[in-house]
Amino acid sequence: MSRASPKLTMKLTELKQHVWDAWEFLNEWKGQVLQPENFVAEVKRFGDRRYKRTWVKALAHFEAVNAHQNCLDAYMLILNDFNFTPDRWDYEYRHEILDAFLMYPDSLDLIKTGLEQLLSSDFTPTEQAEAHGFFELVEERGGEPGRIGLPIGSDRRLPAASPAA
Amino acid sequence: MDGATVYKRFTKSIKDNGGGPRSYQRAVSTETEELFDCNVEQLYKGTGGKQGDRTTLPQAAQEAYMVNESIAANELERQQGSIGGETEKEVDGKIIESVRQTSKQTRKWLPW
Repeated sequence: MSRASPKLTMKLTELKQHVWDAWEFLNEWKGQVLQPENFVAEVKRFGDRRYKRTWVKALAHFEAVNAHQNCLDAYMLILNDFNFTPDRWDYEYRHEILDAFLMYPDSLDLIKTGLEQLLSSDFTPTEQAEAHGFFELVEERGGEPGRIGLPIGSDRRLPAASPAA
Repeated sequence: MDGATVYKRFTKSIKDNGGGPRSYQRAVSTETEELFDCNVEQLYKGTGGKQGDRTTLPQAAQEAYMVNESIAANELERQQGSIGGETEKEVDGKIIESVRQTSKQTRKWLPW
């Protein structure tokens, strides 16, 4: 099988395929895609389909909805969904996807719950270290003006989990 | 032994079969649809649980997930080495089909 290799810019054709995959998953019920004819109209909500930025916005939105809708265990947001590493095809769009997820009112609460779960004794230090892509993403955002930061420090502790002074 | 331990084994069996980053969401979505006829968000809302923490789901739902994920992991471990594909999407599709078949069987034993 092939794995996406790190690349600087995804081609529009490939991006469109990923948008379709994300939309298809969102609109699938027990293995059947519901109303595939709605795809074009739903992408149009994000702008002119001739522009790549429209497809990036659509991708981020559909990926964020999928992450939220299927969040059974919050720690999987940290260990998988937002654990972006350069070998993943979605690495290039990591900030856009997280930004779209942060539009949910309960998004920070879910991430906080996920961190509490992951940093509990249920997970070994080795398992916790597997989330390095997420922690690097948080650190990147800390220095970027205009980006929504996350309420955790680079020492990977939650404010509430810090020992009392 | 608890739900988290079983789920870890389930995710490991997906990873060992070559599952990509989207395969875990898809596996959870598939088993939830087949076991409960709704999605994860609806399951939490409908039962008054706190999303993201399966220990807040009713005990019957937690047990259904645990049993299903245990059997699905057994099946995926048995299939290890035989699931292949040209693309990440193709491999993920075969893993999800395995989870779907297991979940359909599990559903037959559930009282709802």
